[in-house]
Amino acid sequence: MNNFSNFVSSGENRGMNDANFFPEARNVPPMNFDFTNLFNGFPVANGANQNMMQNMNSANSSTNMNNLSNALNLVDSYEGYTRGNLFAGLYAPYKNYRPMRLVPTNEQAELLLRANELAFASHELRLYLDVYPNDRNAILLFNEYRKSANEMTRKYEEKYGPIEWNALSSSNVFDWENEAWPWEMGVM
Amino acid sequence: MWAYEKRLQYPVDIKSKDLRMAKFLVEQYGGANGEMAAALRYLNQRYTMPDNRGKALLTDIGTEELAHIEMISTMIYQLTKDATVDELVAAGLGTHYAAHGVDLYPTDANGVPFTVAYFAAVGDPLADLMEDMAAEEKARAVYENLIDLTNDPDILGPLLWLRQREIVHFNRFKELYEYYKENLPQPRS
Repeated sequence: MNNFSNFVSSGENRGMNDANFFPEARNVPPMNFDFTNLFNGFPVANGANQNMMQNMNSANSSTNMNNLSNALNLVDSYEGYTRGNLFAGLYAPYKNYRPMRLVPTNEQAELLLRANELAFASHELRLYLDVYPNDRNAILLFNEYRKSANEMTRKYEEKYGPIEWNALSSSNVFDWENEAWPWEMGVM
Repeated sequence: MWAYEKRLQYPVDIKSKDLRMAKFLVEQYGGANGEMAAALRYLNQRYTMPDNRGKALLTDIGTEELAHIEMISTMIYQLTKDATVDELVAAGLGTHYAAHGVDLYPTDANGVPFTVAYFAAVGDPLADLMEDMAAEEKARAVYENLIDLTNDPDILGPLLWLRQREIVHFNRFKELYEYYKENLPQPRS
């Protein structure tokens, strides 16, 4: 199963053309709802998401979270997830390589990517807070990311089966075994 | 306790069989600086850390390393999927097949089984954290070696990602080391 089209730069030394490998780094399909565009640098959701956005978050919240991210020198959750590093100051590329761009090609892959990138941002802030437990900006941002990650994970689980064993379900089949295992499908 | 999440921390979707790279990658499964050694090292050291910073950081990074074991295992599984016995023998994996069939098994790239002798715990949080920092740096270097050995984008993506995790973990350990250096009564007796 191949639900991602993956792009990775192998660098000039391998004679590969970056233009071919990075057709559109930010060409992320529209999302059903979008928490991540609260953060600086993330593409604004289009079309159907506007009402959802207005209902969910105030402009103050958005500005506040941008400020928090800036204060901590963080990249947005998508960029951080593809890099494997949320902290702009810690990012150190190897040779000419660039991160693989994750471009979901169906709704399941897209929901999973959103859930994973938000979970990753939460995890990065948790590790940071382990060492700096009194950083108030990090605590506030951690709380927001965790909330978003939980909501996105529930959203995925409702449609595509459990990620966590205790996911709520009204299914009459044991869907823990009914869905593919992570090592058997690229999307997971 | 721990609860399994039925997802990879980062996607692995390798489409081309590559027994040669599988043989190399196993170094990060059961090798001296691999993910299994990392997970067990941190989860073992955490109990006697002097404060909640150390207990939390070693718990959380140790837990993340378990997810990295799963990523590396997934890569090895996908790289060897549907290989014939002849192909395994030709790739130098005949000895692996003799002992383990097509199962995964944590060894280094030379087939030497994993051992906890790869990591230490010496009763001194600064010494333990210095080992942890070195372990992250060595794992980063091994990921760079592995990146040099392939040009398959499906393999490079996860390897580049895991390499960044070593960098973040190294820095968190370093920050904690410096905090303890400043704040712990020394030497601990």
